[in-house]
Amino acid sequence: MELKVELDNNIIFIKMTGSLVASIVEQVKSQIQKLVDKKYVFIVFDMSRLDFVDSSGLGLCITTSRELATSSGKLVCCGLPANVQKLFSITRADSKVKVLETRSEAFDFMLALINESSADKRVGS
Amino acid sequence: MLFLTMMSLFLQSDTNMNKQKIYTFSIKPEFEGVDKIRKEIRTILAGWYAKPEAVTFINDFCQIIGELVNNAVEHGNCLELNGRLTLDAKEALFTLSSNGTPFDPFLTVADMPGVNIDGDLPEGGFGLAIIQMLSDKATYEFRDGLNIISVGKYFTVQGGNHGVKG
Repeated sequence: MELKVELDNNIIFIKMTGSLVASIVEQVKSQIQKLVDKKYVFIVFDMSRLDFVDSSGLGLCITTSRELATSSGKLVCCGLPANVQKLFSITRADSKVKVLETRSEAFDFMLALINESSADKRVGS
Repeated sequence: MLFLTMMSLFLQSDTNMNKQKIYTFSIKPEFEGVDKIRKEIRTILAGWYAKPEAVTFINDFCQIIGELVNNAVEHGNCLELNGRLTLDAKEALFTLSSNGTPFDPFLTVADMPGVNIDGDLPEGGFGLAIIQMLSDKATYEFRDGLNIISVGKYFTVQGGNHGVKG
């Protein structure tokens, strides 16, 4: 499993390669926690290079989504391969986690969310 | 007969009179072992059901095995896991035996994620739900101190690879 972290317009892209499974979930969780501690709460999991996700990996996506939401952030999963998409669908995880087709869609979605959030803060102040 | 030894995975294969290919595995109950067995089985299935239409079948079966072995490693408190994969043209069957805590995964209600969106899932909820949804048949028995779980999936595309390898 390889992780590549990129920052673009305050959005963190985590590109995952290999298998997102129980043996590495804790490692990924710890990496995400470090990002959240540094106030990066708009995170995209680019899953286009994953070949396999198990229930622990799925649990990580759901937990991360829930935790980011409590920090006024958002998780988007994009580029799901067919087998991973099926997993999200049969477990209904796609109703809990925002899933988009491409990285570019995820970027646009996040950017709109950040702008909206900034506008809300301006109105509030 | 094929013998292949890895760090924590021992694999052996044989062919019986019913033209079934049988592989036996022995792994240490570690998550790394789960990854190895799943990848090994994927390679075997890809060779046996060598058809483009078999991709979904192979993905689903590997998902089942991954969840089953994960569950045994995480909750089974066992010292050793033994797997047996039986393949023929119509179905793939995986039997996992472990000397851990008795646990029938099919009697456990797999609470479906999404029903209670904000609620915490019971431990193992996802994995069990996935096994139950993707497998076509399953049996469980506790015998001689062993948990023995079998899960099978029918291969609906006509014809596996009858040319036995290995």
